Amino acid sequence: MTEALRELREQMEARYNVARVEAVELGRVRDYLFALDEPADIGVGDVVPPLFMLTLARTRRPQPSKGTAVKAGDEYEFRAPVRVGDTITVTQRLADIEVKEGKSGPMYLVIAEGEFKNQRGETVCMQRLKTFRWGM
Amino acid sequence: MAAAQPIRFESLRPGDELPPLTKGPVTRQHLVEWCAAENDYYHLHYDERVAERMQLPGTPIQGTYKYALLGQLVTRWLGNSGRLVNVEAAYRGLSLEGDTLTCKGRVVRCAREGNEGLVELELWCENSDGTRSTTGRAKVALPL
Repeated sequence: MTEALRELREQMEARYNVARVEAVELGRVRDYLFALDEPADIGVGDVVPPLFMLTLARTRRPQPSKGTAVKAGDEYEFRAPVRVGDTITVTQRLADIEVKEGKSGPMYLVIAEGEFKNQRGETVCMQRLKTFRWGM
Repeated sequence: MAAAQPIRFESLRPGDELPPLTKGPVTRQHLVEWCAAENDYYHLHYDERVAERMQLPGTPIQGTYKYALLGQLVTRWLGNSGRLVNVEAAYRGLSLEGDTLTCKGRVVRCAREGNEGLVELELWCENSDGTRSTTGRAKVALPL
């Protein structure tokens, strides 16, 4: 394992290997609907759009100290409805880092997986995230 | 927005197309509103100086915005007729501020499983010039 890969793995483990608790807030659901030009006539207790889940547990910190990132792909599986007012615990983990040869050096495909549980402990959603990182 | 008519599993065939969904031209306001919606403020998507430093021809539209549009394409078509089981997307190319995006989809497989009909969909998002910048798949479940 190269020093760059070791450093990236440490950063990605710090980024993903934590559980985050998120409230499904009415205002955030409205922001999501507005951004998609959907009617925002939604209230507490209503079911939220399935892909609202992608707005939860975004890992803005810690930011990698160097390099560039571009998302490669996303997968979500929906197991139960999520409603405005629910509390969702998202447990993510770094699943893998694949090394690819880019035009100007190695590129890293970082794969993370997550499980979303509601306040009753029911699994409502599973996710798989893929991000290319390079230049570190 | 609910589907105009209920979707019935028995009436679906591979090759059937979903009503396309068009958005655009996508403006800086769309990009910033999407930053707020998805709670991610990566500067590349609202600061053209960052895009210039990365030698990009313009300010890129977020891949997750196109992913959400593909989800919207499916849920608008589905309405209250069934449920979305899963949806995935691969971000294969750039879409730039100013592009008009058209999301399309078609049925690739129908199968009965228990008391549900499972329908697999092929999805994609086209830029103004017809380039497929994002591809995806989804599965929906309909009552039998």
